[in-house]
Amino acid sequence: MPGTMNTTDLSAPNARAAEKARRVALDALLKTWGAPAALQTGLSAALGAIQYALFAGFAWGAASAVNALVTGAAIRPGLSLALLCAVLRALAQAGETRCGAEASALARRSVRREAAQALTRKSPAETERSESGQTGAALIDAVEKLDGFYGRYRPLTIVVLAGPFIIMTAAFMASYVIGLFFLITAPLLIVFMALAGAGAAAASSDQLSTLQRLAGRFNDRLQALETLNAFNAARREQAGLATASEDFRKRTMKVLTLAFLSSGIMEFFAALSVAASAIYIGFSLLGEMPFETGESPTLRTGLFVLILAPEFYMPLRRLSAAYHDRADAIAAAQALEPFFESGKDTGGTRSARRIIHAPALRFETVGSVYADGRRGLESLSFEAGAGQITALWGASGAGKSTALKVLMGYAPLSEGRIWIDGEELEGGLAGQAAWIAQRPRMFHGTLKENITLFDDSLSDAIVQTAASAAGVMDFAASLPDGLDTEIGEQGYGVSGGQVQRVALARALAADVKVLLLDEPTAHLDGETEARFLTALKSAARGRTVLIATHSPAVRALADRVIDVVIADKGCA
Amino acid sequence: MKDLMFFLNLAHRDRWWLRLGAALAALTLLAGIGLLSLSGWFITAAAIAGLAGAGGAFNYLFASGGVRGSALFRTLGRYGERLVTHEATFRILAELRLWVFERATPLTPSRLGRMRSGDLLARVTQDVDALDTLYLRLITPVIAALTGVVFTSALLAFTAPAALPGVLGVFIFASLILPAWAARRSTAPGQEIASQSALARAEASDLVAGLAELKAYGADQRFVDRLDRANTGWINAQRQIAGQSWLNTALLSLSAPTSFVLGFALAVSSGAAAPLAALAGLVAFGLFEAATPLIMTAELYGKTTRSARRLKALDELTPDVIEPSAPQSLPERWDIAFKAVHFTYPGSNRPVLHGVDLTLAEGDRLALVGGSGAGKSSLIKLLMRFYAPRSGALTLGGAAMERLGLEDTRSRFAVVDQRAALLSATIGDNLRLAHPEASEKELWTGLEHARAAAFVKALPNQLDTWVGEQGGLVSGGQARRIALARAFVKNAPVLLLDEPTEGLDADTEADFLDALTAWLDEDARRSMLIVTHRTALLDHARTVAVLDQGAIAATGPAHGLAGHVPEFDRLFPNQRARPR
Repeated sequence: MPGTMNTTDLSAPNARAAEKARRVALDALLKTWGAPAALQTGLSAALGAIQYALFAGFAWGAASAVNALVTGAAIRPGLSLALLCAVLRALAQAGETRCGAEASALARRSVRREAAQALTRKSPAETERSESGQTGAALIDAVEKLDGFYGRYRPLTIVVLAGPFIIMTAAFMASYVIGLFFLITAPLLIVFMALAGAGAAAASSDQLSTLQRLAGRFNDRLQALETLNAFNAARREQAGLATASEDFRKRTMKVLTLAFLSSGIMEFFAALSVAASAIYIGFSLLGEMPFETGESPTLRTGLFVLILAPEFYMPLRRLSAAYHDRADAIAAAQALEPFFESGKDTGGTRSARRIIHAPALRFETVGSVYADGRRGLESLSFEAGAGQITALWGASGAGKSTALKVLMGYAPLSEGRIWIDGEELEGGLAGQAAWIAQRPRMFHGTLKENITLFDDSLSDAIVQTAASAAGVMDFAASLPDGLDTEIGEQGYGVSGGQVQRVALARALAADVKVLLLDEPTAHLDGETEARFLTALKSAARGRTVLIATHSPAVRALADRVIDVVIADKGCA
Repeated sequence: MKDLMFFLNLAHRDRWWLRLGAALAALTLLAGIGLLSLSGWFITAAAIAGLAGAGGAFNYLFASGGVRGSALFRTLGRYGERLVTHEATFRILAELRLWVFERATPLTPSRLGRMRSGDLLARVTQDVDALDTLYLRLITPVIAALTGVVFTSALLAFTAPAALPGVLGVFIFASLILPAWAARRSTAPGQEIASQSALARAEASDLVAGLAELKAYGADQRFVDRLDRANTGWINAQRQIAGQSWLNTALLSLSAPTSFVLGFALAVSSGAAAPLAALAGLVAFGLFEAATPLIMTAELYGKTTRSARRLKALDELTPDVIEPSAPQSLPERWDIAFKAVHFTYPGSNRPVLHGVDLTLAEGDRLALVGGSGAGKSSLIKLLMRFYAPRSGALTLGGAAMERLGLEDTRSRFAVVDQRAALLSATIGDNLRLAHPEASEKELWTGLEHARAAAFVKALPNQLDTWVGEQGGLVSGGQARRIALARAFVKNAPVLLLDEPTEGLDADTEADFLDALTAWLDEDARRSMLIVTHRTALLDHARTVAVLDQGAIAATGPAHGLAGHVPEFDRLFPNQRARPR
């Protein structure tokens, strides 16, 4: 019992420390990403601060004009000053926004570029496991979520210090009492906000995620309507959604009652400062002040501080309005962090050796253990003759795919050695081998671009020959635009068998000498499979081909069949 | 506007919340204007009285009371406004979502399904999200601004009428003309942003999903460069908008001070006394607090109305299958027959089925085979009454299906399709979808049958494990087996399976097929229709029907077809050679 107590006692601070360390790491990441835009951020902050000085100028001009009217002097100089300062302030504000937008643009552009670059240093096996949709979305959406942080929040963190300081200094010059009022209320305001905010911030971020969960649930159920209909469950789910939103509203409103206190407090201080200035100045001017302050404010200084007062709290209000920008940025940094993690890169090494002829391959007790400790392959030894088709045969889970991945450099070569034409292979074959998986990716673009993978150095003749040999022309010839037909992101309009033939054409056009195929016909019906294998057979000439498969038809095609068995099953 | 009002009216029950929220927003604005202008008037009047030596005679009770009152209303108003408008927003959101869900239910999948171009359901989701801000961002700011304008106009009309046209002019310029002009100028770059962002998205998913291929050919750098070009194009389009909008920002920022100067100067020129002139200027100045949110309103207005219009169109769509008004009662038996069924998906002009004749007698086990695109899955969708045949008839237990109630018909079938869509909910809830009153024991039995019990037991939270999009704790093969278990839990007499073992490895597949047969053997009246191209599955069917080019080419036991029916041999070239 005491033992358990100890561990719980220890783990709570530990968890908190870990959480804090994580926050620090994410903040550091956000800081690094902002570096290319440091100049723009600084400029935005400077312009943001200057506008408060210009606003003070406007207030002085406006107060002078009213004062002039009372004393019978000309109102024009005052109004001119007010207008001039207003124009300059407008320009400063526009500049602040513009520089902020530029800072955000620069930061986002470089983060997206670097994340994409970092991605290519990773093993595809890694992106495969984390949902590829999520990784793609991170590159686009998470990066966009940094916008508010670099565009607004970061410059504001400087403005929130400089702006009130400028206003307070101006107020002191006009009336030390009002200046003192600001000086005293500023920390009070911050303390009150912190008190009201501390609990509410945690709770409101919690609520935000509940709101997203609720929206998520609605969207999820809407997307699954066909399934719900199939189970006659749509009406039940609708009732469930209604209860959930009712529940949510009640719980959220309870939290918001507290959370909105901070905006109430902010409003209170802004209103109080105006009211207090008006009453203090008014009563002083009337000579009705009940106590002596040692100064006698004039109409001009009075109006000046009156107009100035609400602006004192403005930067803090803007910052708290932009606070969710920071939360968004932290979430985005979390999503993007995996891109920049180093050390786990297993896909970075490429063999320096150029392969000009179909090579002979030999695996010598090759084993592979992934970074997360999963074992992908246990002690596999075999030889694949130069220019031959070798089938790796076995049940799924035996490590056939992993063997191919090790050869490519996508999975770590943890044990044993691989020989290529009698020389030990260092790094993977990535860059000079074909990779044809169960469902090859069709890229958005034309058939031709899918064959060349946008390599403009490949001539039309090469593409044409490759397309014919791989059987792409069988269907492309009847398309109105032939090889220039656009195909959709997921190979829209191109069937499973056709996709495989396009993938084969890629290999032929690039003229690589090693073809690695991972269950290439698993999704094809017999007829389509037979057609693909015919094309593969002719494409294999002069190339070393390795196919992981459990299809008898593929097995029949191979010059040699290697049985891959799950090691511990084999031993038992 | 009509479309927007339609969705506001959905929250008819909560109309008092909406009104109270708008009223509080207006009150907060007015209190702000009142506070500043009254203070200015008070100081100026006090100065004049002080100069005249009449300070003691000045009645300051009204002014100082008004100032304090305004400050109080401002604070309380702001707090109340935020609470009430949020309450109202959540209420509208709930009503809106339920309305959409109710409308979309009969329309799915025939009108809104995934199979249809552009995935309309996904767009519905986006449209609902776009309407989130309807009340908070669109309705309250407009009401508050209108109240502010009326109040200001009235105040100015009494105190300094000469200032009125100028102040209103600047306000209309800042809140209406300026945003409209900005919206117009940003249309072209806005479209550019949309197309560039779509391009960048496509490039990103190409790079991520195609990484294995790209690295193999050494083409990855080329694709990084392509993504970067799209990225730069996108960011540059955004810059273009930012570059244009600086003028708007500046003009908007200038409008409040200008309005002060104009209001004051016009009041002075018409001979107003100094306190009233100060009041006119400050009222004009304070009014502009309402202009900033209106800019946002203008930006959102177009987007929101378009979404509202599209959602409202859900009301006008009719489902492909209309429920009979007086459905016949469900027959006792569940023999199924297709008679000369022709079918074309709505909106398509390519017929999928032409003249299908097929029967599945009660207790029979039928495998439906055919090349991809032969129309196998559409047979299941017709049985589920998701779609109606263009001609021909479907019968269930001898009764014409169009005379039966939809829920009645569907209660006879348990379907597992290729997608195995799990809800993001717990495993238990996913299973209970099929049978809400199922006991825990029944759920486990279903999992046993689907060969899923072992891995669910190994999960720390077992049946309470969260799965689906937000779960990610189960693999594709496991998700497939949970979907199978769900079909077993439903305990409907007819199983409709569309490639059920896709994504399972060979061992699990064999295991699953044994379980399936065992389940069917339990009750001789249970029947099964299985769509497949896997050889292993053929042995578990008594009859195989070959669907070729939209019609049944042959029916018979697998060994009878092999070697005799060319359509079958093309699909299963190894079947002929296989020893029996």
